[in-house]
Amino acid sequence: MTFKAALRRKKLTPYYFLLPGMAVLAVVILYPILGNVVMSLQKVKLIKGGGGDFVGLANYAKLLGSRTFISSIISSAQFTLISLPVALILGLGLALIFNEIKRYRPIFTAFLIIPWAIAPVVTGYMWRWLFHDSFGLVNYFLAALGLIDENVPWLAHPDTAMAAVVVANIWRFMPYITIMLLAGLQSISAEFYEAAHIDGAGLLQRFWFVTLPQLRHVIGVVFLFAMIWMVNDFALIYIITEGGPARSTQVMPISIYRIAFENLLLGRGAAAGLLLLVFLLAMSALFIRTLFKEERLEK
Amino acid sequence: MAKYPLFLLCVALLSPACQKEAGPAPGGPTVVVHWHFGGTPGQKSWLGAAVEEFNVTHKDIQVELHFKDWFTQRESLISTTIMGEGPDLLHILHRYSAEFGGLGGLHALDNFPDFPQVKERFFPSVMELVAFDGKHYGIPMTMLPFVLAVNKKILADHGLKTPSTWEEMKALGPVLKEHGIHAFTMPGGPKGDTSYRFFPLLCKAGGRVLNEDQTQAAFNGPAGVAALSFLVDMQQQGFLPAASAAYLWDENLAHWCTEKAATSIEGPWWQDVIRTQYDFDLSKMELAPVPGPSQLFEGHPPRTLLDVPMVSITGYSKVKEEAWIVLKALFADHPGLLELDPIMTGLPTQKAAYEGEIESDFIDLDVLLSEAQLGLGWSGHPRIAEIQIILAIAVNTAFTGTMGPQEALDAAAEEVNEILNDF
Repeated sequence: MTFKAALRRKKLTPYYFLLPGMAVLAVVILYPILGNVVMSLQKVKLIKGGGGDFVGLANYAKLLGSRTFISSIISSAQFTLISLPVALILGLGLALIFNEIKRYRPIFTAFLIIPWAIAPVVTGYMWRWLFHDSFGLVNYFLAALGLIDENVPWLAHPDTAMAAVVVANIWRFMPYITIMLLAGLQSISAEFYEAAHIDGAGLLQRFWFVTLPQLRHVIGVVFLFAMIWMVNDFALIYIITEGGPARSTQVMPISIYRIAFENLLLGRGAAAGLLLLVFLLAMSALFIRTLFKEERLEK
Repeated sequence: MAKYPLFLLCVALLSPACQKEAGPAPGGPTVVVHWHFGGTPGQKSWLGAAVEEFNVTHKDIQVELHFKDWFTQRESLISTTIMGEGPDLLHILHRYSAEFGGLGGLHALDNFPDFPQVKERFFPSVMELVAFDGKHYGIPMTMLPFVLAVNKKILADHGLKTPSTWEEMKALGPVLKEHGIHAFTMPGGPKGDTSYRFFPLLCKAGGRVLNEDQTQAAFNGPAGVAALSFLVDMQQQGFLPAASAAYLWDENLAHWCTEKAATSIEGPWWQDVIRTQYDFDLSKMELAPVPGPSQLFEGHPPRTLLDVPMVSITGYSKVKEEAWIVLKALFADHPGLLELDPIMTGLPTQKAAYEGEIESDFIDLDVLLSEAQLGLGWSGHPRIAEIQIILAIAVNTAFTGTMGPQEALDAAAEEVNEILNDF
């Protein structure tokens, strides 16, 4: 065996090990995506074996010219951009508190995880009834506290309906964020805090100059995952508001569902799904690039 | 052999699944699977007993009955039609004749030689609703005229009488509002239920959803605008719950049954639903025709909505002949179908049910029957389900005040016209 051949073999060997995994990924990820791309270029017939007529980029053009679809992108952005920072700040606060608890922490953590563990459909129904104008506990407590004179129809007005789904979403996501950040906090070496203490750093300074920089990567990953999940969220919002009122909470996944399964425009639905995927990939790439670019610069 | 225990286990587990191929099993009875969407508790127990009786008396055919959620029928039809696999019989809404009959998801019953004799026993106007393009895709099981369900005790307690016009409906408002009661309630969310309440009001005002040849939206004419303005006005004055823009069917039911509202647009199912789900005192309830305006806004005669659940054979069923035998036995020949019984969810669709002296526990049967005669079904357009949602969103949008009635209906009409042109 020549030296070149040996080198080539050595270079290729890791890829042979990767092949089975790649083959599985190709079947479960690549094939559906490619199928979706093909479908997005067709006007699909519903019946079995019906196939579809090639329409080029017409589905994409229709979507980008549709006021409803554009407004669903705006609703998705509103929902995510309000929910995510609030959930992150509250989750970080809770993680800091939990980090200080030394006794019974596992019990508290187990309770904390409940909202995240409940199925989104159940969470949705729970919040739908909590926000109900006549029978909801939200109005009951607000009235008991003297904050409202008459029942507020939370889910019947565009602004309050968006606020309601955001509150439900924060309630659901906060435990996940807290647990992840708690794990991050526990991995910070006590030596950093001791050194900062010796240098005379106060509580806020220790948080700002030690905790936050050490947590940066964990926060980054949590932010990225939570953003993807929130943008893709369907069940919670659909159960609470069905995308209403006046389409104010009709986020992209609900819009895609409506196009594909209520209007039976499967090709256009596939195109909308791909636009959502491209949007998420672009956002993720931008975020990861920013996160690691700063690190490279620091080095 | 012992080397492959996992393989053998897999084979053993998969074998029964592979054998459960639809169709006559050699030597065994043919299984006909029926998915029954919706139905009141009473109708379900009647059907359960009827199926049991059928299975005892027919050794060669066995019916497998599954009850399904009323609101999932379209999703189920879509997925089973795409896959070409599913049940043999379906209890669904008549409008799916147009949407899924043409696609091959439902089987045309005209293919059976004895269908004309069966068809003859049903009211022609009802049979028309299960037909599309000259073919019939189901047997109408019941008919559901939309009427006004009134809590007459609330009205009597406040010295009010049952309204017959929009003006009289509005007049109830101030008196009941003082006592924290809404004159009227309806589901107003972005779902089909909303358009099912808007439809009777539109038609009572002389309007229609689509034009004669189904090429253009007609609901944004003067009658539609008047009907939506009436609803929005009721809501703004506090005579209809502000939260109705978010109400689904069950929330509306709760609002009416807890006596927070005096009236709601419902149908013959209401009596059994409020009794079984809320133990509501039926002596407080009466039915009245859906009120209309004191003068028509368009030239069509005033009508109400008539909905017809039908039982169909799926286009992909491998046991169509056996399914037809079951369909006739359970949904055409069974004597229970000729009884005017509130547990059946709706009114009988066969002429024989109304011959001779009629005995019934239906409250205000005369109102149900006269409104059934005035009933008009949803247009048999294959994309009517989509049009219903758009109409619901228009009503929902007007309720939020984001758009006025005319603007909301015009925007919806634009969307509907695009769909109709595209079709």
